[in-house]
Amino acid sequence: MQILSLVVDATVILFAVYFFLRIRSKEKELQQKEGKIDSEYHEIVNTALARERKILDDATNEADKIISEAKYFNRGSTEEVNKALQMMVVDVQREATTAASNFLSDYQASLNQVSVKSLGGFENVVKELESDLRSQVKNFNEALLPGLEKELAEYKRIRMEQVDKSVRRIVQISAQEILNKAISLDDHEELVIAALERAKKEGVFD
Amino acid sequence: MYGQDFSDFFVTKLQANDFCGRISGISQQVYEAGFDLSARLAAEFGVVKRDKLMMLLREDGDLTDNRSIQKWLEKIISQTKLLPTVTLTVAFVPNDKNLKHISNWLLQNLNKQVLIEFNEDRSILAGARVNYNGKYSDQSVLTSYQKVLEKEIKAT
Repeated sequence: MQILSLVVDATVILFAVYFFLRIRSKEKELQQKEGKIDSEYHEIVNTALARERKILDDATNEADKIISEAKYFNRGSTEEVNKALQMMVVDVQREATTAASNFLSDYQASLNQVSVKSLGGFENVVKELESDLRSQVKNFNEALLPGLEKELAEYKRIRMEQVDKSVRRIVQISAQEILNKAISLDDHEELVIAALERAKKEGVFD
Repeated sequence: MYGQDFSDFFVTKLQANDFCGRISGISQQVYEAGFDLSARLAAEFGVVKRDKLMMLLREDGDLTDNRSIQKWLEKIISQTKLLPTVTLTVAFVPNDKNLKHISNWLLQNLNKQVLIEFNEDRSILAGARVNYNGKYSDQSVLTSYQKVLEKEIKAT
């Protein structure tokens, strides 16, 4: 019985050792595969990086080339435009000067023409005005002046009357103010009786 | 009674109207029970004026019965209303003393009582404008003043 037990135990241990060794070999195998894959990966990445770097370098070179060409072109264009503008300015100035000169000469010619024409007309107008003025003055002296003098006298008279009226009114108001304050009731009574006496003499009470 | 002096009772037209109103009131009470003329006159006009009125009553005859008293009162009213009026335009409001003096002047100079109707107009300065029985006289200081002023203005 004990022997059987030992055999079984031994068998179990043998199986266990077998499986351990088998797992170990599998693990080594896997490690080898992993190492291979890793090296392949690194190779691929390095190759890609190298290509990328090359592409970038090519692109940079190309861009530099384009930029330098563009700069050249730009400088050239600016110079061309400036030159054209200067030419235009010169042309415009020349044309303006010519136009102004033409206008001035035309204007002077027209002015001379008008002056010559107007001078004759002006003399006529002056003569007409002079005769018209003479007749108006004559008319004024004969017809309007006496009327105006009369109106002036009437105005003076009215104004004088207004002044007289104002003076009377002012004096009356002043006298009223002063007398109303200055005269006592007894004085008033005496003046009323004196007034009655005068009225009696006039025959008011007859 | 015409020509009699009522100036103790009234001198102005206004006072005369008031006097007539009071007398008329008494006249309407004559037939009331317990009517006493003396007491009624004293109540309306005071004792002094009452006595003067009673004296006038006695001068007109022995009027004791109510009917004759009423007739006498009505006669006073009608005679008062017949009094002539002088209208005076003056520049002040006269007091009782002024009224009395002016009234006395009129009584003495016209030999009859004349009622005075006062109009106040301060613009006439002083004196009076007299209007009596359709006749008019301007005796105001204003008119004299204006004449002097007019003369002066023309002279200048």
